Amino acid sequence: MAWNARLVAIASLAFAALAGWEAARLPAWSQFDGPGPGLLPQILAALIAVAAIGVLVAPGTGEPEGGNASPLRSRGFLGYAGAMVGVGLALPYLGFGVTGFLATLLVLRVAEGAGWGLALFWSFTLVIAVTLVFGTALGVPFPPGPVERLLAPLGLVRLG
Amino acid sequence: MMEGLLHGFAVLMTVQNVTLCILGAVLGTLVGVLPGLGPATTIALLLPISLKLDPTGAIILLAGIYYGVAYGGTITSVLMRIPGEASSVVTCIDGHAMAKRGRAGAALGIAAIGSFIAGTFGILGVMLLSPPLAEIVIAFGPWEYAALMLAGLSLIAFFAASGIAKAALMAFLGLFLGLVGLDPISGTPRFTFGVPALVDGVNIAPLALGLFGLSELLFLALSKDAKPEILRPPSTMLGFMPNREEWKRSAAPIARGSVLGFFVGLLPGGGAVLASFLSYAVEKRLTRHPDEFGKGAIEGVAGPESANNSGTAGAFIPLLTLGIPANAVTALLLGALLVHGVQPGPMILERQPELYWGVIASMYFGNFILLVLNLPFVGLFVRALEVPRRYMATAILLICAIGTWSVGLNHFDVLMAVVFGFVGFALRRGGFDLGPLVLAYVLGPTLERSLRQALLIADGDVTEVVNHPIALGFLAAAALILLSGMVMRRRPAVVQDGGS
Repeated sequence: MAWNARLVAIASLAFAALAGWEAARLPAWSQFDGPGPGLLPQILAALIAVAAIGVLVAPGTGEPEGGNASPLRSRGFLGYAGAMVGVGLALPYLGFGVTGFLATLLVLRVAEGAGWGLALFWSFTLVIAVTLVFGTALGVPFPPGPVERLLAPLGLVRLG
Repeated sequence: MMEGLLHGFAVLMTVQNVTLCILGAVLGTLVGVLPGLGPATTIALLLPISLKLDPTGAIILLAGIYYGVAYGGTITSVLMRIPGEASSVVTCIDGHAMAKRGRAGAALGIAAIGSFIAGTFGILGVMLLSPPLAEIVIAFGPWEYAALMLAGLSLIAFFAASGIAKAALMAFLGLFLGLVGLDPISGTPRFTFGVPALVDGVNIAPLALGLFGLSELLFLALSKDAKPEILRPPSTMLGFMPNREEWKRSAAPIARGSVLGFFVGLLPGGGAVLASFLSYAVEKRLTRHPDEFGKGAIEGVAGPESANNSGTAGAFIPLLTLGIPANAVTALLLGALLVHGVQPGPMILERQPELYWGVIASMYFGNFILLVLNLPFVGLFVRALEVPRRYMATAILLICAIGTWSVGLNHFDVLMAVVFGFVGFALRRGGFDLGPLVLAYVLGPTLERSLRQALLIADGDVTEVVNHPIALGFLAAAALILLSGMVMRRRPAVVQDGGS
């Protein structure tokens, strides 16, 4: 846990430096309006740096949540992380149907080691279930993709 | 007050609101049963859907999940010695020991009944204390508000299990995130880096879905999909009834747990988890059967289970009357209210009585539903544990994706959710508590507004605070809390070194 905490503290120090630099460009005080938009961000950037140094000095002990093994060596973690990134990048372009199907398939095949039959069946079922519950029943707008463009004229989803 | 409550029941008694209340309570129980999937994750997942509802319906649904979780968490604690969620951790000790002695039914029964009594007591407390508290708070100016929030944040850092430095870092980062976007006073864009989606600030949906939903997904990926060993719950309702001796021994712990939990729930950073631990410590000290503690003492179940439920109810007072959330879950509830354009605070009773009383009435109703549903359906809820991880995890991924998209309808929010997912994972691996971050993020804009208004009125003179005794009191309390937190953190190490 100590190593992970120190890593977070170093990242926070970098964040504080960037935030402080950006905040310094904003007026902290104005003669007429009083406290400006830069006042609190400047104070907070300094406080983030102080707290990060505190964590660097006393990062805590114990096993990190999820165990000591490196997540980067876990096939399951890499599969899920890859699916998350894939969804983040592809959702607005491929729409929910295609992206959701491919992401579920990737997770089940790569991360969970499921067979093709089960992976295909569950990916298909889950995408249909989420589309019907969120898109059709709750009227949540869906990102426009090939599947959504086919379903929209049928009134099953609303494009957003 | 009775008039208000009747109005609340009138608001609740629509098909939509009753359905939402039952749905929230059942979902909450289910979430409580499933280890790992906590109330914050579930509320984050449902946040985008709740935006489709009216504010009252949305809060009835989300609040139902919050107090339902405390019921559900008991089931796995007693039958498996695995807490479904944090406030049921202590129940594992004596609850599971009772189950192993063949008294699983009595443990679950007394937990449900104690929870119902304590929950009802807590709601009554919310009803009785909120209006007078609102009357007091209504006189608060910007100095008092800013100082109150600082005191609240200090308490959160004090109670954080991760330690003051880590909690403070999370709180400062959260406050900073809350400041991104157009400055509310001058209209200057801050930290937007030319991204139009950031002009309105960091949206709560990608933040909550990423930090709680997607980070949980990554932890699920690391966990092993083992088949849990579950002790059998009773098959008849009579099997859940404690015997005469158990009733006698449980009465006082339920009463003490109800009162203690309620007041702990009021504190920012307090809530159900701390309430249950404190109640266990109190019962252990007061019991006439100290030798039984840890081996199946019913007091160790009745007290903490009552305390965590009244603590959950108590947390609604600072949320509704001060607009200050007590923990991460109520911070998400506050976030949902703010997205709906509702600003909780002392004026809520006057401006949105239907929301306030509707939520109170739904809590009474939801508490009753939980008692009625919980015991007969224990077996059914336990079966949820047999659902393989892969089905739950993939569903979380797709719900997070569509949930994030539906709120802002832009690519940037989806990318932000993914980034926050990895950030949440890294923070939790480092032993950081995400609660202070979300709380401070929600409080950030209000704290800044109050602070700047106060400084503007005082012409930049910080010493003006001495003319505001209430604010000064809050600030002194904040300083005292932080100082004592630092001293108390050091003490165990000294004791250990001393070998005592």
